[in-house]
Amino acid sequence: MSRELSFAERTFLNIERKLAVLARGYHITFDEELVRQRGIMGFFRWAAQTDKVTNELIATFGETRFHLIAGFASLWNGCDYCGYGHLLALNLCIYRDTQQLFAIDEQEVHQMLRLRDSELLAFLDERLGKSHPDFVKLIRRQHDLRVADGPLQGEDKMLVKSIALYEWINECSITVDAPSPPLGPVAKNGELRKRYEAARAEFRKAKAAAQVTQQP
Amino acid sequence: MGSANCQVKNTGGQLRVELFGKLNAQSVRDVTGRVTGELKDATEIIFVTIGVTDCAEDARPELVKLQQLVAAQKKRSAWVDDRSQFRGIALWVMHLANDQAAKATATMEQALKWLSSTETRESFASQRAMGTSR
Repeated sequence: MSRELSFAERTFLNIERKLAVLARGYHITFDEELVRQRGIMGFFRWAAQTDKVTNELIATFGETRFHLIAGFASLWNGCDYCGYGHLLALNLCIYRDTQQLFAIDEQEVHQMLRLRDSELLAFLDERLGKSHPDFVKLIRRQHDLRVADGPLQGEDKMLVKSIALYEWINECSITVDAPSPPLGPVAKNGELRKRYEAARAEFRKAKAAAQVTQQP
Repeated sequence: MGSANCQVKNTGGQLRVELFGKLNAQSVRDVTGRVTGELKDATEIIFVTIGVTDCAEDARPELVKLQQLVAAQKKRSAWVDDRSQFRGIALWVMHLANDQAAKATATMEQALKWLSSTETRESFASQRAMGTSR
């Protein structure tokens, strides 16, 4: 079903991954599929084009809201790798800016994937309706634009772009699985990642203990 | 006509294949057998997986073979499910089958719109992302 990479392609990937970690703090594991599908030059074209659109989205929505819409654009497509990576980056941005944990743990991606779309929207209302009603509104609008045509207003044009960008990216990222690294510049902040992971681990432990206590 | 895991109906050249229950390698091979017989009289195919409760790992390569059969006959197809997980499986299947005329959709309306277009999946997405079409 899929061809083996050539020696030159494997060598290229080894170098590209090392450079990506140095430059961005992470490398994507679906780079192999990108090279398989497009070759080395095609990989560079894809990276340049998707980076350009990503930067436009960050300029419009800001880093934190970008990760929110990128994460959900991927989730609608069923891509756990990008859904997890952007939700983790979103969590890191929020923890960096507020020292608070976001109400959705990146590890809940698989649970969200199993929900019907209407159930997922209800889940977002329940989790974020009070703390982040603006996030809920943005994701609901992204969902509506994804399933039906209609007049565009405000940020709609860029939300449509976000849907298209992740349909394009998820074409190859669907071949790999979560967990993934934080998919954004925040990945380079190692100290923040350590603090977030410690706080999240503590929260998960307390949550699990509370669930055990509640059992009859 | 129906069987344990699928119902296949041809309406004016549109083949609608509804899948149900737990899919495993054998049940998908059965579906493929049913679809093979109907494919030559169809112009397009809609796979509906809303009634599927589980898709075993060994069912997935068989779904790729089914999609390859569709692609080999140059038929346009859409997969419909209102769950992200099954749209993800459908995307994985059509990607590995190298079928750019297939698309995973959340609603029947989106599926019909896709079938009536002439776009290919990845170029459609990349053009919209780069702002060259809506």
